[in-house]
Amino acid sequence: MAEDNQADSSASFRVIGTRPIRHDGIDKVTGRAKYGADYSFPGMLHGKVLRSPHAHARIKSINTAKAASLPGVAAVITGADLPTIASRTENLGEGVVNSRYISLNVLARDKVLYDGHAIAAVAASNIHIADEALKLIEVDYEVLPSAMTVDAAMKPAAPIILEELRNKEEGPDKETNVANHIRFTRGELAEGFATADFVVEQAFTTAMVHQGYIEPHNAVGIYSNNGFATIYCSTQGTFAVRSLTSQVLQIPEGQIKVVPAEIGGGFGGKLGIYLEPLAVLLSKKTGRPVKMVMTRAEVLRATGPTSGSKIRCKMGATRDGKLVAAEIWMAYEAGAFPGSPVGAGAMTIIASYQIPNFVIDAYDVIVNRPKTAAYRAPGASNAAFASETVIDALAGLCRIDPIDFRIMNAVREGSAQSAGPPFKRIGYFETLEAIKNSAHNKSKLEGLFRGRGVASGFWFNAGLQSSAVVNLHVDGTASVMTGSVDIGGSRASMAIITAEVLGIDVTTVRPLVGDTDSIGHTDVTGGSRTTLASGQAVYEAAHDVLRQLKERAARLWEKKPDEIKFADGVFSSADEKISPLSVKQLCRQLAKTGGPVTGKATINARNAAPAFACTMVDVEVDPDTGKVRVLRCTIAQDAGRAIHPSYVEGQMQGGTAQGIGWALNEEYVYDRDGRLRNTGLLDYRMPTCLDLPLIETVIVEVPNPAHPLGIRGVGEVSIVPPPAAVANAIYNAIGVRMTELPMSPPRLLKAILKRRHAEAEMTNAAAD
Amino acid sequence: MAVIRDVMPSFDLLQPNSADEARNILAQRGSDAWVLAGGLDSFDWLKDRIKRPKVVVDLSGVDELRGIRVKSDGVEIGAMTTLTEVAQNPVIRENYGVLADAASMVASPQIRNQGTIGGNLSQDTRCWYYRAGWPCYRAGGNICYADTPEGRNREHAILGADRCVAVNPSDTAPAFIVLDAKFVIRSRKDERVIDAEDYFIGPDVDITRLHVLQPGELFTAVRIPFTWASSRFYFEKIRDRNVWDFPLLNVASAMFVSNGRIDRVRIAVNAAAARPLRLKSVERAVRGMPPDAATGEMAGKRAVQGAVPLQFNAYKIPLMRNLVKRAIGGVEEAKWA
Ligand SMILES: Cc1cc2nc3c(=O)[nH]c(=O)nc-3n(C[C@H](O)[C@H](O)[C@H](O)COP(=O)(O)OP(=O)(O)OC[C@H]3O[C@@H](n4cnc5c(N)ncnc54)[C@H](O)[C@@H]3O)c2cc1C
Repeated sequence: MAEDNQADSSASFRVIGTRPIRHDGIDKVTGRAKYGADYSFPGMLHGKVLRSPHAHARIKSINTAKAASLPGVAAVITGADLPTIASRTENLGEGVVNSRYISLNVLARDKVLYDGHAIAAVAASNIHIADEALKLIEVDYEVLPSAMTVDAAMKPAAPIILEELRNKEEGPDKETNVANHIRFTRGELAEGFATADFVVEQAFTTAMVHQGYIEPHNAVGIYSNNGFATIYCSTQGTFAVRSLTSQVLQIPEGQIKVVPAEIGGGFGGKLGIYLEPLAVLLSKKTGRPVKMVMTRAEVLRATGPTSGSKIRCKMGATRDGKLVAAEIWMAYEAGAFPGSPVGAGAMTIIASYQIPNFVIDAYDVIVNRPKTAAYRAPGASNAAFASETVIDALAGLCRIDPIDFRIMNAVREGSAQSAGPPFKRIGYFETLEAIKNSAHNKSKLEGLFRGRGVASGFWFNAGLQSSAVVNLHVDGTASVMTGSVDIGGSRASMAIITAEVLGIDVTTVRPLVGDTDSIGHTDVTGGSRTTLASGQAVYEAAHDVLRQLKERAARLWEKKPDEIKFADGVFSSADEKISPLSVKQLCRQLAKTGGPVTGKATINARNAAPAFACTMVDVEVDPDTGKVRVLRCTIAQDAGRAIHPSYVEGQMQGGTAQGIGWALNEEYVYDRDGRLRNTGLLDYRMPTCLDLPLIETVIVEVPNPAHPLGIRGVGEVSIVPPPAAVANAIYNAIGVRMTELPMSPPRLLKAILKRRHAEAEMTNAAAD
Repeated sequence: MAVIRDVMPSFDLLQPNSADEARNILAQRGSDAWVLAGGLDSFDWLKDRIKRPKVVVDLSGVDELRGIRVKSDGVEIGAMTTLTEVAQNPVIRENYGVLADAASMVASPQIRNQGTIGGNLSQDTRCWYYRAGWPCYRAGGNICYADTPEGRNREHAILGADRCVAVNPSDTAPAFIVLDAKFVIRSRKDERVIDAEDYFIGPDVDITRLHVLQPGELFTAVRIPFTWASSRFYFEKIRDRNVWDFPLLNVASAMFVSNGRIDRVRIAVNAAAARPLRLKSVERAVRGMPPDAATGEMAGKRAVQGAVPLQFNAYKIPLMRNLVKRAIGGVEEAKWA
């Protein structure tokens, strides 16, 4: 099936589906590309942030006098220097944000809400002086009890983190840490479970994990006397930085320009702002450019990870393998401000299956941890760890192959979504078939303590707004500019689409990322939307160029534009006396026929289509030590259409690698009183190449019917299956069901011993 | 973990060319001086501004402290020899496989290229409270943060704790102990040669140091006798991640077997206590027994006698039992599934 679709696409396209070298590649591997911290300006100062050592404390007083008088210090700011703003929510593409909370997160006011919460910022002539100045800032804290987990924060007598927080359910008088309760239901739960032959119920815990991008957050702020501010920074969304900074500083958006640096990874973690308003404000105070770069410890302590969670998942199936009911309770750590991805978790947790009866209760809970940010399919990996484990257990009870079990229950075109309208054409079935037919699944796994597991993932993908401009040059080459920061190779995709439409060589197209003054509004690079939405804008802008070129040819040949034919980069006419012209040849005639040609397009894409992935993992478990070795891993994913297959594979592999890290090793370790212990990459353990096998990829292409190129978006769903796939593989290896992430040696060894203990007791009981 | 990760505060950097010169400088500057080998541990402390020496004595220019020499009675490894050189040296691989294995499992290739044997054996503990600069017992205070109800201690000690529950993290230390290596230490007055085992100390002896090296002393070389060369070796290290990670626990053993019975044996573990532990009672118990699964089981149980778990490190007890079991009994395919 997958192969059929692939064959299709290569037959109908000339450039799409090929693998040219990425246009930004050479500058990146030779160190010429400029990342955020590479920007420097004459007279520039260096800024640093003072951060809370407490998880929860009232700030009784801050005295900055000593710091301000340290030689070399140019300015010190605190929360009192930021305007107070009312609640206002805005959708950035990966969840709703509230600018009041963003402001409180950028610099704390009356209270600090987590270890690492920013309190003050200093600008000095170098970072060492800035660091010394931080030590001279005197903060008087009244330490308050903290709530570090959803369990602790949901207790009736829990410490209240945000006094102003209310939720609809508990009413306007009740202080609470629960920001929101969402419920989705269908059918009749009790009736559903009554028809089940097997019911599995398990409680799951997942750890808070960080996106782990290599490049720390950074910003250079330059405030000019005319009231205009320029920000250079590494971000997934220049327009989001502009809008949020505008709100936090109350500077009109039109007076802020954001210039994107190259970005050293984001994965959702660079959709928001941290340093940007501070750099601008410090620049405003000092009249000089101010650069701020976080350390790794700051990144881990104070920038958004994704939620840890608690999930209880109960599902029932009939003996012949039909899922009949699901009851789910889930609570996600939002961090210190509302807005965990629990809503997305709830909407994805059983979205892949036709289940007639369910109740899903989802709670967004604030805790004394950093405010969470988006992380690749936010909320879905936690959810799938629970549901895909329970489904695996049910398949086992029904004695049905876990892939077949999923195929039997899979949603298809027309199936009702668990939350939302019925599905249009989707590729879940094809993705499962691709895993079923994969070389991996056909291979035999032999040896002691080895097991194979599968799990699936679902993600919506986003559409949103994009702008693109295609400029044709006199020599027949082109540049294409979008507002989409290039994280995953999108420049290559934009160039490919331009080259495809214009019939020119892809190496002659120069893809560019514009700043906020140079290109129309473009939403963030997130939600797997860039190739879909910005790609469509490029597609339309290139067609705009093509339309104009046809007009020029018509003018030249004294024909009507619709008499001009275009194929393979050549314009021709039915009139045989007229010799055809290539794009390049026609470009030389532009001045003569009306001047330069520029194509543009802007869209608000409403044609996003869901992505599905299925991942198969082989593991070997050492029951003496709890150590897990991942032997083999294959992922099949529906891309809709792979514009540049290498970067589609890269996304599939990257998300899988992160998912395996999440499964096995990554976790925030807080003291009981809320101080983060592992603030470096030595003991916040992301996987290295030796922790991962070669991740085999199968690109499935079930084109998105609503998109001119069939694109679905590929950036996120790959991270969803691995935790459950690894857990299922561990179960098949040694018969131990892991319900807690990460499945590190200490945890797995504990679970193994518990199971052995239980077995020994059963044997003893039998003997009695 | 680290707090500031800043550039270092200033100090005098002295770069001697010879061991004598180094020794003289150290003798003069005493506790003001910090010996710099590969710098992997040193620079953490200096950059975090937790240790603030006045003088740093950089040994990288002292060639005589480098290299692996075969002598009539064994092999001598200069203290400044890198872990990579030790791991790859043919004589060591041939005779002391347990050491080559241990050295090759340290950290990552980059760290092994830079880290030295002397530094690896003299490195400080990784306790994240102590390294964050908290005023704990080991730092001269009067509390152990890891051993409070609030503390997190999954990587801490199960044996030999005394107020402080930090562990020695070296992978090569237990290998040297089972090889009966001697460490050569020079001070102003003399040269001492001490048993590997005696180099390391617990908090009951000195709560501020992991080893006996005094300020002003120089670790010059490790001498390994041929006593245990080419015996039956075992080294295993368990870590969360497959590379670039300290041991949760490691085990090293050497044994001679004759007529199917364990004749002579040495076994040591590290990351279980503040010093690498030679398991003498296990050695005594298994002597004369066949190196099989049953002996392994017995050895494992005996090894963890007296172990006391903290709140988050109870897993280390079965882990140590199982590693000792394998070291003595071999890796049998377990009968449990
Ligand atoms: C990220 C990371 C991961 C690591 N993982 C592991 C691991 O898995 N296993 C492991 O065993 N180790 C590990 N290490 C430790 C590393 O292998 C080095 O051995 C260790 O950091 C010190 O070696 P060095 O040569 O860099 O010495 P330095 O850092 O320069 O010195 C360490 C200490 O020894 C003293 N010292 C060094 N040489 C002498 C001498 N000749 N005379 C007197 N005093 C001396 C120094 O004064 C200092 O106190 C890791 C280190 C890092 C940074």
